[in-house]
Amino acid sequence: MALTVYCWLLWLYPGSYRQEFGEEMASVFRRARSELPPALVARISFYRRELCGLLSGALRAP
Amino acid sequence: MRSLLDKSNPPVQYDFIRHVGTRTMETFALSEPVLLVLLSLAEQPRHGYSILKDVESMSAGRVLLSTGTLYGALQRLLNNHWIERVQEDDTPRDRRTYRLTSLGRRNLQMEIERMRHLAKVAALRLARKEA
Repeated sequence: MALTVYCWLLWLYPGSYRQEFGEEMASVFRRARSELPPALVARISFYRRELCGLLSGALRAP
Repeated sequence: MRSLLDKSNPPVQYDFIRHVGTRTMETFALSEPVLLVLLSLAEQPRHGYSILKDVESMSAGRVLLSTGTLYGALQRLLNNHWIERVQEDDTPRDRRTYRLTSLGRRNLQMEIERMRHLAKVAALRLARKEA
């Protein structure tokens, strides 16, 4: 579910950026998520950071 | 690793790169995430996830990069030829490896020199104030 949302959010990036880094970003996200500690706070913090990072990255992407 | 952290120095979560600086990468003070990415690659070529974990480890858990921040920095560094992709035929597209170029290494050394100088000036100023 989280990965699906992540991949949707990647559509906010320009096509060229998505083509160059999209697959790699999704892979790193998947791996980072799989190694999250069980604590709820850590998980919320991770998703919040990823969401903000994606949104601000999409705004800055050329 | 977390237990090593000073409580007065909480983790910095880089959702975005805060200090963009002036026009070209050669003239600006690097933001902390970019500096840490470069330092991570200075040791050895790495792929994205490895950089993410190395930055966390180097900063003792204080700097946590998001994937958006990491790849924004990598893209900028690639465009400025500070880093390059390692050409490996059998590497899957989602595990590409990056390494520092000679230009990147030179600029990183200049940046470290600049920081060393700044730290020296800061120490002198503080000592003068205390005296």
